[in-house]
Amino acid sequence: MNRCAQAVLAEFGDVVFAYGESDEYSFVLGRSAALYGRRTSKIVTSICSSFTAHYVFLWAQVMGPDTPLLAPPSFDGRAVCYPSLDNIRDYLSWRQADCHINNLYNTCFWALVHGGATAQEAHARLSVTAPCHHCVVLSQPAVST
Amino acid sequence: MFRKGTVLVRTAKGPAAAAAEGEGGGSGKGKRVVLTLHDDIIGKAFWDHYDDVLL
Repeated sequence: MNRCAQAVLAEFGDVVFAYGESDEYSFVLGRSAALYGRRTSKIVTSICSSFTAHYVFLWAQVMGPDTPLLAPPSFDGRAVCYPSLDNIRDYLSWRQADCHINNLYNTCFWALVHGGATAQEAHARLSVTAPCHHCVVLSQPAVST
Repeated sequence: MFRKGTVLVRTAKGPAAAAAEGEGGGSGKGKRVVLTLHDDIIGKAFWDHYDDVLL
């Protein structure tokens, strides 16, 4: 994913910033960007297509010849025009907060599984636990790591 | 424990354009691409350091 994002920045000079987590990447185009006359559909489809193409193109290089790509990957995309830099920072903060929540969930999920719970039991336990309490789940003796 | 995702910034600060810089032109031409795995982009410090990246 990171190599794909690097390739997108290399291909599209108007992309000034990118943030990726999990299965998503956000690309920020500068206020003065003139890419494709700022036509939304052209920008979204071109970046999405480039990212996906690089994912396939770079797969063997990153994963090695013994790990074949088992299915054709695809990514969807959308564009939002934010009116101010503060709005963009808020958006990026939201994505990083989401990253934190996902990591917290996954860390707790696998701690529970390694502690003897089934995947279903781990999911059931975390689904009734607010993210801010996941660290408490982790600290309980039955799932300590 | 809490990884923070990946940040790619295009900045005029630091050494000249790195290998990740491409030929696509646009406003970022000639700027260096920096990749980092640990930055906190929610906090103020990151934006104070990279005060030019969104402009």
